[in-house]
Amino acid sequence: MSSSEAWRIADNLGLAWQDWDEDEVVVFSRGLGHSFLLSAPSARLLGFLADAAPHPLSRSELADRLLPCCAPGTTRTEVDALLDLALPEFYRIGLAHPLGAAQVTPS
Amino acid sequence: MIVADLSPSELQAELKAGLYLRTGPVVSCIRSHSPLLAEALALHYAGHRIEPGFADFHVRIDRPANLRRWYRPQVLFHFDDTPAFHPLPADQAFPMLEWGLNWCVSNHCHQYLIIHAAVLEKHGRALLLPAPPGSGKSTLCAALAHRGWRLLSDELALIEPASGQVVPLPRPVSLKNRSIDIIRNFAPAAVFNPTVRDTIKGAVAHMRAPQDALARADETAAPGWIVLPQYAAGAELSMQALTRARGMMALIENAFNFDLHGSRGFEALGRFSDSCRCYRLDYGTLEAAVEACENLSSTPS
Repeated sequence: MSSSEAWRIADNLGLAWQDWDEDEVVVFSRGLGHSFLLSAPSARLLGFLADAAPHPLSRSELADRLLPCCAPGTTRTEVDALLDLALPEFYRIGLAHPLGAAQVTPS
Repeated sequence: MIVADLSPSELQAELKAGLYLRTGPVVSCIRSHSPLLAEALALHYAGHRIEPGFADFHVRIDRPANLRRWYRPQVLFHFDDTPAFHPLPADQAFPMLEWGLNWCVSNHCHQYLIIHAAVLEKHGRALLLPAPPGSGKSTLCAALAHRGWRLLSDELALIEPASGQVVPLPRPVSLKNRSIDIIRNFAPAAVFNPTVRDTIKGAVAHMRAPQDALARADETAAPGWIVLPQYAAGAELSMQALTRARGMMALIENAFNFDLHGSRGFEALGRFSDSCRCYRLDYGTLEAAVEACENLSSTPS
């Protein structure tokens, strides 16, 4: 994935969050009718995309925003690795999609 | 009036006309000509109130009007006079009634968030055991109900969305296969009906709800603990703390009607989980699991 690749949150998700300042967060999408258990960094990533909507964010913008939220000592490489895991997963479950790709509707 | 106030012949007559039985917040009008069902109701529902008048559900368990009345007789469960399930052998009339009543509640009582979970109470706080079949949920529930925990339900946790209180639905505890003898040995005072064999779930026997559960059937319980039990023969006991997020997801995944409640259901389960401590319990012996739950209840939250 290139650092200029842009990602956008899916339309009409209607997100609600339940966060206890733990390692995990529960996110509910009224639009999809599903709940998701996300790691805290993944939830932050989704939050950045939700805040930016309807505009997309590039991978490098996402990494820039996420890095200061991570534990001290976290490297850019580690953040990139997290993005490599989280973004395709968001796409698979219908929460976000790369610009130009069709929005996924999970079954 | 309670069921035990009726003589066997009076109960049979009442059952033929329609027995208005209160179980927790619901009243079911039960009709049947089955003497076997009357016997089982006398045993399991002796302490339950009879409240003629309004019924939330009208159910009937009777033999179908065909040759199966005589040849390998069967029974059918009717909901509002419409058959709701495939027929079962006549000796399975009581398990069928129990499964049918669970179906009535889980498909219709949408004023509650309904979670597939056993629920017990101690010190005013509810212990929820949400789990899929085979995890040992009902076995552990039956054991705890005989070790100082009040039974609210072995199958359906009814959560009031606004208050977060858990509403009791005290009914017999359904036990299967090896669990039946395990609980007979664990709690010799427990009352069972004869084991029904060759059901779709294997051998099934029901354990009568303890008297305390019926006497306090109107007392709700505040959220306390969410424990995900997992039995495995020979497993070491392990009570591992989980995040509240994981506890909340277990409730959502085991909910019958979360999709109907939408955002308000999400907020309600969030508040509920916020008041709970959450654990995964792996166990290989019932005594160890009961002790672990006892330790939970004696630890300040």
